[in-house]
Order: sequence, then C-alpha cells, then structure tokens
Amino acid sequence: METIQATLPAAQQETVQKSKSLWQHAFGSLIKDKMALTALLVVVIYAVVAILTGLGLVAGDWAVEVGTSYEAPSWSHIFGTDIFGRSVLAKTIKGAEIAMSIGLSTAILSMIIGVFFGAIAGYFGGKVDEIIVWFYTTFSSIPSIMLLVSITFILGKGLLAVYLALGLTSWVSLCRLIRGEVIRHKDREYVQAAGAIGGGHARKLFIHILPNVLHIVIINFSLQFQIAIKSEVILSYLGLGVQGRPSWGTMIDDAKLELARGVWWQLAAATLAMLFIVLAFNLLGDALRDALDPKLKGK
Amino acid sequence: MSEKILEVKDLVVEFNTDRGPITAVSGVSFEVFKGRTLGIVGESGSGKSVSALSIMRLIPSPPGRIKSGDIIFRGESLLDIPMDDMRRIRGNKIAMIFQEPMTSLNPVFTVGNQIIEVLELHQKDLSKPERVRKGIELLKLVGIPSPQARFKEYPHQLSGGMRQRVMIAMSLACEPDILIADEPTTALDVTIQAQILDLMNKLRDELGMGIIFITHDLGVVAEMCDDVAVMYCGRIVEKSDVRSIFAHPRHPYTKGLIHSIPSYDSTSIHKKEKLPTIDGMVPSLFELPAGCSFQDRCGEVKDDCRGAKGSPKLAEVSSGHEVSCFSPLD
Repeated sequence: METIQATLPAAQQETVQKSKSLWQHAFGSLIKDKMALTALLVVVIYAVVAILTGLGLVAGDWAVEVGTSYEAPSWSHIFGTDIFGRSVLAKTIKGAEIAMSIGLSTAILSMIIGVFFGAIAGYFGGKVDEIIVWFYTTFSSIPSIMLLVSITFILGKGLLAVYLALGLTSWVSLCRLIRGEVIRHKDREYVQAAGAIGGGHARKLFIHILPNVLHIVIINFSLQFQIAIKSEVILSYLGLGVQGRPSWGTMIDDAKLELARGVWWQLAAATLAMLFIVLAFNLLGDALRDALDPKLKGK
Repeated sequence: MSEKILEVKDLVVEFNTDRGPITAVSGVSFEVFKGRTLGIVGESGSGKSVSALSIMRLIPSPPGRIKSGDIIFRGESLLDIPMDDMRRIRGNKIAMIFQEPMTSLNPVFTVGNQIIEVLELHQKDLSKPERVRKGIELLKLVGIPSPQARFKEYPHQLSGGMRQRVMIAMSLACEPDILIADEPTTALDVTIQAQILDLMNKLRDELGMGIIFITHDLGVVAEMCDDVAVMYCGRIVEKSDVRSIFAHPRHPYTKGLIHSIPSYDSTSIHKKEKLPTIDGMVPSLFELPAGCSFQDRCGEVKDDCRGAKGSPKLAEVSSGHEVSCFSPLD
C-alpha cells in the first residue's frame, strides 16, 4: 500500500541498532559494576553450596564425630569442634541450606502477598484501598518480634513454621511501595490506552502496570532475603527456630553458653558465614536499585 | 448523505467534586457518518474530551457518570450493554488515539508487542506469526520506515511523530468503524502534524471509517473535517458543515474564534496589530450564569440572554446549520 514514507536512505535503515529491553540495560550496567558483580558471585556461591548440601553432596557428614568435645581451631578442623565433637565447619556449611531456603521462601511469600495487596489497593482505590491500608497499618503496629513469636507458637516448631512466620510478617513495606507506585501509574495515558483497546482491569493491572513497577519488587526481594536470614537467627535464639539440624541461628544460640568457657569458634563461624551473605545481598540490592531505578540513572 | 454509524443524543455527564457536582457535558447531540470526519472544537474544559470518553464509556467513575442521554452505535445503545460487550467494542469497532504519544505507549514493551496485544484481544483466531505479520503490515500502512526493525523497538527509541503513527497503527489494527482522535497532533511540531493529518485523511478514505476529531485548532479543523461542532461550557453552540461554519459563522463565539486565528499576510506582519481576542474568561462550571453561558463575553448580548428564557437550544437556522443562540448573527 502506498503511504507517506519518510525518506530515510536505505543504508541508514540497515544500521538500526538492535533494541535492548529495560532488563538488558539493567543487566549491562550491573555487570559493569565490580562491587555488584562480586556480591552476585557471593550469592551464587552460597546458593550453590545450599543446593549441594540439600542434595547431601556436601557436608552430609556434619553429624559425625570428628574429634573430642570443643577442640580449638586447627589445620585439621578450621573452625574447631562443638560440644559433641562435630566439625563446626561442616555445621556452618550445612547451615547455609537453612539460611538460603528461609531467605528464598520468605522473600517469595512476602513478595506475593505484598505485590498482590499493594497492587489491588493502589489500582482500585476507594473502599478496597481503605481496608487494605487499615489492615497493614494495624498489622505493622504490632511489634514484629511478638508477631513472629505468636505465629510460631500457633504453627508449632519446625522449618515450615519459620518460613510462614517470616513470610507473613514481612510483606508490609513492599505492599506500601507497590501501592504508591500503582497509584502513580494507574492514571497514566498508556493505561487509559490499554482500556481503549478493550483491556479489562486484570489486563491493565497485571500486564500493563505491574511490569512498570517490577524493579521495586526485585530490589525489595534482594533486601528481604537477608532480613529473613537475620530474623531466623533471632527466632532460633529465642528457641523457636529450626530443630534437629544445624542453622546459624542455633549455632549462635549455643554459643551464648560456650563463650563463658572461652569457646568462640562456633559463634565466629556462624557470624562470618552470615556476614558475607548479608553484606552481599545489601550491596546487590543497592546495585540493583542503581541499575533499575530510572530516576537514579546518570547520577 | 452516507450511512450514519454513531449517534449521541442529549448526553449529560456529571462529575462529583469536593465542591458539589458539576455538569461537564450538558445535552450534547451529534452524529458520525461513514467516511466523514466530525470535528469537535472548543477550549480546554469545554467538554470535548469528556464527550469522546463517554462514547467509549471510559469516564473515570467515580467521580464521573453519564447522567442521561443515549449513545447509539449501529442501532444499539452503548449505555445499555454489559461491560464485557463494551470491551469487545473498544479497540475493535471504536478505537481511540490520545493526545500524548509520549506517554500513551507502555514504556516496558516493544511497539510490536503492543500492536499484537490489540489483535490478541479482538482477533483470537489469528496465530502468532499471522499477528506478527499483520502488525508489521500495520506499521508499514502508517508510513513507518523499516517496519521490521521498528517492530522490535521500545517506545523511547521512537520520536513523537513515530509514536503517534504507532498509536494510529494500533487503533487501526481491527479496522474500526469509528476512530476517536483526541487532539492527536497537539504534542507534535507542525511538519509532523501535517504528515499525521494527511495520513489520517488518507486512511479514512481507504478504510471508510468515521472519525471524531477533537481539537482546539481551527486551522486543523479546516484541513481535516467535513462537519464541525463548536463546544462551549459543555454545550454545542454551533454545528454545521465545515464550509458554511468558516464562511458564515452564526454564533458570536464561533465568530470570535475564527477572528482570533492569526493571519499571516504581509500587511498584518508589518503593522504589528494586536491579535483579536474574545474578551473575558470562560466561566467556572461551578458558577455558570443563568441563561446563555456566553453572555458575559458576547458583544451582541440582549436581555433574553440573561436568564429569563433559560439557556438557548440548538436550532436550525439554515439547511444543516444549527446554532444555539437567541439572536444568531446574520
């Protein structure tokens, strides 16, 4: 069909660059950032270790006695042994499995709840918004430790209870952010245009608005992950955490009695293991924000 | 005259505000015919966009609602049908392009993706490759060079004119009967504006759709439209075919608008004359005067206009030329 063709020379038309999506741009700027790359590497290493221990390929023998009780760190046992003569290093490695699984499940659970309620509240406004805002305001006014403790008491002890307790208590901040962002986006013309081509509420909200606020979810995911790892320690310290298998929380809990006897290595191992993953997630979260938030571009 | 596709009858649209309800559109009637362009002209806040959005039933509600009147599309009232059926009409039978091409495309999807979306919604029997092929064809139709490559690009990589072409391509995807264009060229510079207007004219002739063209630019109206409705404070004050309205405006407001178009002939440039304007301000919709809304700015105002006889009704003064004025100009 004959149309009004803009007269671009053919050569110029050929050199049109391949387009990059927002995610490709973000990934590009992420891998240029050495610090972020290192953080990402640390996270990947922890994740691989966690998967391998989960499959029983690494540190499967953590429960085996390798020496006498409370052996100090030496070349054969880098982090010494615990009260039962088990290798603290093996326990620490095994602990990565719990830490990573708690981080992941909590981040996913809080993401689902937070995004869902935040999106609905922001998009529909009115009564729906009022109810959800009232609910999370009330919810977040309860001290989180108390909430965590009461949820684990209700659900009983065990890993699943920890997953749920942490997930159910950590969605409020994401919910707030998403609600605000959705309110900002819902009156944009592209959303109106989506309505004008015949899209319903679900399409407008989940297909058009949500990808535009997804960067917040990703940044929050990375931060939520390490908050959950730290919270597990608190739960275990209160005796509500994981039972019957080593976690960094239970190791630190054990250490409170050991320290008086000069046994510092169990505390050191668990704390060091935690330090690196928490630091890595924090750095990664910062880098993700720099890469994904358009307002910080070219600062 | 050609086939009538859409008829708007006595449309009244209200908005609830903190200061009480306001009537943004009060008693507007117009028709859209196949292959013709109806221009709706008026200042900001005169109710042009609200009328257009009402046809799509896209008035944000609350606070807005269609209080009375009817919108009849091909013999069927659009106000009575369920929302699901309305969704099938939007983008399919009645399409719309918006004022701001910069923001009416979703920034995170490629333009191709967004054209395909319309087809996904309304032409479910097409396969994926067929949709892609049709999408590229549409980009070609609206005159985008190297459509294959552009198809995979993101909105930020296109200029304003290109984006508006993409919006037009999206709106044409299902070959609509009616295209509503809400100030489609306001955000574009003049040369691009001319290209987009030519394109719309050409596509109207090729596809035989009716266009509702909303603008405040009378020059564009003269170029584009077959019929014109002039709106002021939520009412149509004058309605006619384009020739007779420019040659012979009968409402003082229309006359004032046409007079305030700057002229570019050499004498006026050297004389540095002041641009003729209409005195006064558009009254707030909260405090519309009784009688004719235009009374305080009108040079021809009579006692009748001041409220005793209510607001003037639209009445035919000559064949096909309707005016709502108690004492129309000769």
